[in-house]
Amino acid sequence: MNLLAKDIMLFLIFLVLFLIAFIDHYFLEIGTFPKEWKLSIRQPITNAVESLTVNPGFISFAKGLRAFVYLNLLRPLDVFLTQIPWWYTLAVFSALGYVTVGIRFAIITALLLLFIGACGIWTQSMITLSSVLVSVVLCFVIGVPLGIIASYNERFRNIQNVVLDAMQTLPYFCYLIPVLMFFGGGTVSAVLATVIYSIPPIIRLTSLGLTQVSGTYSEVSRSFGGTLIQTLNKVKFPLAIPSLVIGFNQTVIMAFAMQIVTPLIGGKGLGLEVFNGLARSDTGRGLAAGIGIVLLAIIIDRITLAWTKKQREALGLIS
Amino acid sequence: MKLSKKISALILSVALLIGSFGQANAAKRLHAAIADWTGGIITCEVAVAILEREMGYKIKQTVFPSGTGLWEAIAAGELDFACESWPSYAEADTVMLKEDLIYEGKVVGTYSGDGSVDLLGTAGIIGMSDYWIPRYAAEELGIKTWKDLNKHKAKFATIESGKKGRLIGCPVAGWNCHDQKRLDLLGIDFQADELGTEAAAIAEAKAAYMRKEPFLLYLWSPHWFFGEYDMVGVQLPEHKTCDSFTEANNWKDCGTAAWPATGWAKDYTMNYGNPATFASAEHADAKKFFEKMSLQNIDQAKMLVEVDIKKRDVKEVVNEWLDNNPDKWKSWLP
Repeated sequence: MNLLAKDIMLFLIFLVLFLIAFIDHYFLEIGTFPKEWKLSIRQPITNAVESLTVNPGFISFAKGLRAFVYLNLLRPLDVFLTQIPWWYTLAVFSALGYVTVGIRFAIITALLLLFIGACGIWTQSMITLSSVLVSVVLCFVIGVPLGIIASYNERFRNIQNVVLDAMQTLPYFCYLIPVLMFFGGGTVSAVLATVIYSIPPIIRLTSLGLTQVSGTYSEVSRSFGGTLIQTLNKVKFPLAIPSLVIGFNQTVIMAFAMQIVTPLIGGKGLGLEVFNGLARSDTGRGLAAGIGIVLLAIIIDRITLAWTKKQREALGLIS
Repeated sequence: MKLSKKISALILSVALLIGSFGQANAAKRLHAAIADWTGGIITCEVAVAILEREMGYKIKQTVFPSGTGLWEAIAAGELDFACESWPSYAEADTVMLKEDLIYEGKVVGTYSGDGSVDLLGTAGIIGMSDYWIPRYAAEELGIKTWKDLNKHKAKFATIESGKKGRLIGCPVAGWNCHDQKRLDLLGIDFQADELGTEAAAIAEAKAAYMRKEPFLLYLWSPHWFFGEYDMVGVQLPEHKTCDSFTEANNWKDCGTAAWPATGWAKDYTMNYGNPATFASAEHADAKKFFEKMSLQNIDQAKMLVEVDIKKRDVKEVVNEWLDNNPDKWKSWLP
């Protein structure tokens, strides 16, 4: 009896589905979104972008920012990293590896960098490294204060979370074209797009790290007469450093990931090499550059993570 | 057990029924490349639409950036055909084609490669490439030809290009434009910047035009940009053929006298495909169609305006053009 009822149910479901498909195909479009409900946001967005493009105030701001980022950050670092001898850079990174992780990682770092040099992509690697570093510095300078504000103000944090969610999920092609129209194609636009893409983790983890510091610590500090800044600077920050460094590390990794996309708006370095390798179906060239990005990311990732470990040990958080 | 069998039987029958609503019995299939610039997309969509509507084909389309890689994918049989290759840009054509390029009965090019790619015929579009400046800048600065560019290079400079002027260059290195080499050989003190995509180069040019700034832009015609913005070419010197030019030896032996130092050739664009596919009897009709196909510049230009300025769907625009101009393409049918 029960089984029969199930059969009838199944038959009815099937019949309804069939009817819907039949009606939709031959009579009435009931499956598509009604045309009257459509709402156009395309034109307003286009208009807003175009009015900003010709707005003299905004454009002089954009030009100023472009000049500042290029003249003060990108070019000096580019020139520095590409002009200093390769063995010097290699030695610096190995030393960093030795100090933060240990002798084994120092040797691995040296080998990985030697490999990059041997692949003939040293210059491009240094250009990629400099755009990643500049992007990360900008992320740090903008992201950490935003994270601090968010850790003190819940409403700000809620609004910021929505914006960060949007930044992380919005396909990057959507904001590449407006960035181009305001800043022109080239390395600066590439850096700005990288900042938009890779800033969310550092904001989130700064705010997370500071909120997770137990209320007892700040209460103790306040009761002994510490000001807000002193509490933040002397008590909360040192305790939040592991979380901060993980945020920093995530930002670095995301900035590296973005290097493959930035050639679409004039970015240079290893990403462009991968891009050109693909366009010419030169798999070797593309893959060598891709491996270069991975190796650079591994080196930076290990060094920053090791730094967290030491910091945690120092704080007595892990034994 | 019994129930799940029933459910699967029902689902299967629903799928079959819904499937039978559409016409699901297209036997002949081809795999085409979608180009990375709008003109090329339109030319290919015209061919695809005619093959599908009139000749009972089902065409699978894959986005594939143009360049040597596309030629290799076609030679390998990964793709069956691609549309509107521009001979001045293609470097694989001399190596892989083994046929005459015929435009309206006249031989406009002869190839003697290994025949690993089949030249299907001209696409009909005749292309022209040049460097362009907006008319307001040409008039204000008095620039008539490329020889005047150096005098005003400071006006074209940006933060990144420093003392040199900036050329918004050919966006994709795979297109083999050799902008920087051309500039250097002609002694134009400009820096060519590759922006990676047509969209990026056009976005920057459009923004600069809106702000009435001078800029130098690489572009090809037919292109919708000329319909919307008033541009003048800098008239690069005449094209000369350099016989020793290949991707490998790369312009070294050609010097300043020939390609790529000078302007681009008049481009009789062509469609090309996999030789094995188009040699089979099954696709003989498609091969005949491609031999006859000849889309005119003016028609592509009209569709470009609809697609790029009015932002309409490519397939919709192409179908509308086919509906309204049957006299222009009926003669291409085998």
